[in-house]
Amino acid sequence: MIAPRAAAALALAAVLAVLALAPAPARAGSDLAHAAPATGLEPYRESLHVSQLPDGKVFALFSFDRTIRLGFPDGRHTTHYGLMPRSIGEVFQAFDVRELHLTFTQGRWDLDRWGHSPASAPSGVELWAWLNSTNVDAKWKGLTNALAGLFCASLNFIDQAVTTEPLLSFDPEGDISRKSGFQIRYGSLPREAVCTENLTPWAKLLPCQTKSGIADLLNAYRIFDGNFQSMGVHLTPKCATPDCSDTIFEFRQTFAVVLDNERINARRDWSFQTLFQRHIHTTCPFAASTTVHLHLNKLEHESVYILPTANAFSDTPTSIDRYFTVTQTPFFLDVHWEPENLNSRNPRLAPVKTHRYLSGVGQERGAIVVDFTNDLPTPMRATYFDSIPFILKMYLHTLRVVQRAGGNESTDASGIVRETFFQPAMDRLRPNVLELSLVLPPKSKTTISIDFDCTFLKYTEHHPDANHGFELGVGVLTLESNPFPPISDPESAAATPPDQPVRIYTESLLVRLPTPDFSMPYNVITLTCTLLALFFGSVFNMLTRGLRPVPIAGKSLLDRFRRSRKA
Amino acid sequence: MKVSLEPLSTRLFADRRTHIIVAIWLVLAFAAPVWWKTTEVYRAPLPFERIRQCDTPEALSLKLEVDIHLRLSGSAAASLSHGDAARVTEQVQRGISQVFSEAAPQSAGSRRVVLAFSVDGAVDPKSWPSDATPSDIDASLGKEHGRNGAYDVFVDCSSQTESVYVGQNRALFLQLPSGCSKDLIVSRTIATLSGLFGSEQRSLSKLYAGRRSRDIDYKSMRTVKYAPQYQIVLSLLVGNPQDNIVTWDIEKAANAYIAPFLESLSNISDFTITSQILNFAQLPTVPDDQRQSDGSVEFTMRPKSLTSFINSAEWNLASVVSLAPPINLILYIPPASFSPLVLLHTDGSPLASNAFLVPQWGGIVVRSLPKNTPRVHYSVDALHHIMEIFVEQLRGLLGVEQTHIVNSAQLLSGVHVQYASSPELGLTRWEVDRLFRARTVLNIVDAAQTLTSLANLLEQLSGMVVPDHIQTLVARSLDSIEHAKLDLEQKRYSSATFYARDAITSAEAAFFDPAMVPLLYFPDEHKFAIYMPYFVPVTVPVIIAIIREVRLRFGGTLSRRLSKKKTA
Repeated sequence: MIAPRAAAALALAAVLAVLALAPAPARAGSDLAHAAPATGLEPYRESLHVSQLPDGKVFALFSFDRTIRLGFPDGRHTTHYGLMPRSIGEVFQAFDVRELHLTFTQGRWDLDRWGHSPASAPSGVELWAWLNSTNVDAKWKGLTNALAGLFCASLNFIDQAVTTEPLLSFDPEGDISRKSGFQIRYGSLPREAVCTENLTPWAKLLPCQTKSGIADLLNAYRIFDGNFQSMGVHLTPKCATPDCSDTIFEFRQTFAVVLDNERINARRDWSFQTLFQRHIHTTCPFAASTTVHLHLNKLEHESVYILPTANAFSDTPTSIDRYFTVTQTPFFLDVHWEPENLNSRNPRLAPVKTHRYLSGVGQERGAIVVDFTNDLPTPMRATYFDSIPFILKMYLHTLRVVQRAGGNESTDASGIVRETFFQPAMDRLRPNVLELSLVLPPKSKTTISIDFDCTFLKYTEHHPDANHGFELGVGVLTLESNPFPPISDPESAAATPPDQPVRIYTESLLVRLPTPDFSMPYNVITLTCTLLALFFGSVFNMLTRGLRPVPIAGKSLLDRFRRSRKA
Repeated sequence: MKVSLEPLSTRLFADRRTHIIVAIWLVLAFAAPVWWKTTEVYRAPLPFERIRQCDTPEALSLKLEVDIHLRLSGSAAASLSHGDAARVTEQVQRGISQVFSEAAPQSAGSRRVVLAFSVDGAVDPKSWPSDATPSDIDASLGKEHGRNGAYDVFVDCSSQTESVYVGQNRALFLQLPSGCSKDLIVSRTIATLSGLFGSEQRSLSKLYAGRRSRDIDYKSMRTVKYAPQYQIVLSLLVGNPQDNIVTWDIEKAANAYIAPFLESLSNISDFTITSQILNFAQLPTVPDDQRQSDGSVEFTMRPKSLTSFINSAEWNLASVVSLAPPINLILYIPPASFSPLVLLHTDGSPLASNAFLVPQWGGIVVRSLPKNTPRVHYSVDALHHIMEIFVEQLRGLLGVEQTHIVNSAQLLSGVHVQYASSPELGLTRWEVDRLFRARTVLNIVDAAQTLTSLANLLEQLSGMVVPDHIQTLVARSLDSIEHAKLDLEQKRYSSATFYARDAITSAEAAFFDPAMVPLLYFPDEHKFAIYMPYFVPVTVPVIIAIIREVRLRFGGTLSRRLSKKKTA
């Protein structure tokens, strides 16, 4: 047992040695060209961020970062893959993807109890990509189909009728600009149930799969038992040269999970073992670094005992930050609170929030209402994006903005809505898109509402469970500046730009449209046809048969019967 | 109460009834074509007759003509009298035609393919310089020498021993003892040619007989189904990177070894080469362990357990982008816990190559690494031997058959036979030509059969839509079949290969077109179920009414019936 472990440590040492030659991670792109011939493998890092949420649940964010090359400046595609799996590399190449963000999420991030999410994602599937092509719609269709096959998800249902092209939201996060001729496509599937069949293909894309490294903790039995799971695939371009003639890509896989430690454990204390029933038994041999960051908020009188000893820490009386570099395996993490009971106080409430709901009665018409709350003492610039499928007919003239601040109510939208983009839906071709550029005044609540009519769908367009209703995709509030203290560690801050936009997702909505009775189509056909046939028959008889009076002699019924017998 | 009806009013009533019934029937008569037209499934007219014609045995009986050019060297010419040189050509022609007319199956009513030879010859003293070896001359000819279906036979009569050298560039070299006779030249030439082309004739006949033949050999079962495009996927599978992190210099190696090989086959299919490294590749089975005499443990796998070697559920081998069939070439590094892993023959002896081929799927090479080698990098040189195995496996998978003189022991007893190899390409011109010829005839047959199947399917399923582009594809495929056959007759093999490829591609595109599927699932029973509840109750009184009306009008004269009624 000793020998293989020693070999693994040796392997790690070798990897570290190679990395030591490389310059700072920020310049990882430029050293790829030099490092590649020596190792043939792309730089790879993995990190785990763990924090305990105000209500005692544990939030874990796994990230797996690779710097990859998809093509060369002369336009040639990479056809030889190392740590980057061929299956997804080919997808990016074949559909000219410049930037891509795909998240699969189950559960809803509870802003009121957990504060803002460092891994915000709407429930269901969200996909947005910047494409570099003249034939964007065909490429987008191919991309959704290919990703559907790759991740065993119904991404192919993101068709023309639900695809949108946001103008204000979803700015590129990598080194491309909105003006450089690339085009964005956005689509979401709020109904998609995310489970292990999506996790397995996602995990297969990891260099060490779930066999070693921090991915070892991804125990499907436990993580799908949590309150929120979100797995993501992100591809962002980076310039490899100062003039950006050569582009490399950062390929990042993330897994965010909120686990209800108290329900599992009935205690505030937790460890990897109680949360995941696993520990990190070896490091991934390809990872240049494996880091674990622990962040806890506490009260001054509370004390926390953490095992093992951290490599670096920065504690304040109300917070604890520990940084671990995993070199020694197996790696356990144990958190023990003193006192043990949870004070559900000082929850770090989200200062900017948004909620969306339906108003109105009946299945014919209604209104969508969105609330924006800004509890900050400063105004907040933001964009709101909402894409409603064609099944609802929205009317822009019914857009109303009501603002409440300090007990005053005003309907003057001029100071709040700076720009409005609205795309009316076309049946089966494109959705309604409402995009607003907002300035949310300090300490205020802004409510917008817009009316809609329900459409009557063709019977094939209803879902198999027609009476469930239709789920509408989420609305997205993108804040232009990050008002919250970042809870990421300095190391991963190098990988993720600090000015990454903050997105707040609304709830998805369930609307009920006029629904036919699907239970007996054939009975309906038969009944209708019988009625029509009866009608036709009686009319036909009336037209073609003469009605004559029949002579009646005799008084009793019996006499009549006898007469007719005789006749 | 006595009822009396006016005869006039009864007559008026009868006329009116007739009008009503006729009107209803007129509506039905006019509505029927409208109904027929509106519920009709669009079917572009296909040339069924032409399709049937091109799949007959007569239409598919092909003749592949091969030109043989005899080149007698100075020494050979010297040992023959003046008229004999011309007679050699004539006799070789007669002899070889006789051999192949016997070899070709003569059963009527089945399609067949035959090789036919036309021989010409010349005395060409400069063709064989006295100090040159056959391989020198062969090399000097160059790869682009001649064309498919035209071969040079160099004959020289100046050596001590008899030898035959099959070159790599469409040339054959016969070295005969000095002072050789005309008969010797003729018999040796015939023997060599018939041996060389005999196996081709046999395998062509066998393949051509198609599925009816039960006698399909292992070689043809190995070959992947033809496609105009393949993806060659080179995968390095590492059992456990905790033991060894393995990398390979695959780009250079693929360019050096596999790309030229595939390049020479680019006329029949396009190939894309990609590579990947997959880590933590677990075997679905556990190899047997065997303790060696020196106490070390070796892990072995017998051919029986190799059937479950591929872990297709776990190994990420498939592409979600390309529809081209993949050919997987895998270098497998077993984890240290199963090293060394040795593949065994059926008899239990270890396989020297430690590699095996999965028919119609790909090839696998297993290489165990020594313990305590945390980092291993396969350089181009280290990959040399593995690439050779990959190329050999590709030859098998793509159906390249080794040039070989059948029955050389009997036909050419005492003659030293030597085959040139082609180290740069991995296959000789002889092999390429033969593969192209075989592929061409098979593609023609497959295209014809696919079109016939499509025609049969469409005739059976009347509810199937046939869009216009299917018609275009079918017409294109038929045209290409005809072009290919014409080119074969006129010995333009490369053009025939191209047309045959186009024919099969178009035919398969038409057959597998997704546009034809939707209405297939709307059977007639459903239509009846929907029409019946209305049309049965409606049509029955309408039909009875017309029958009664006809009987009333023509069963006897109306007036008589009416008067009868009146009297009653």
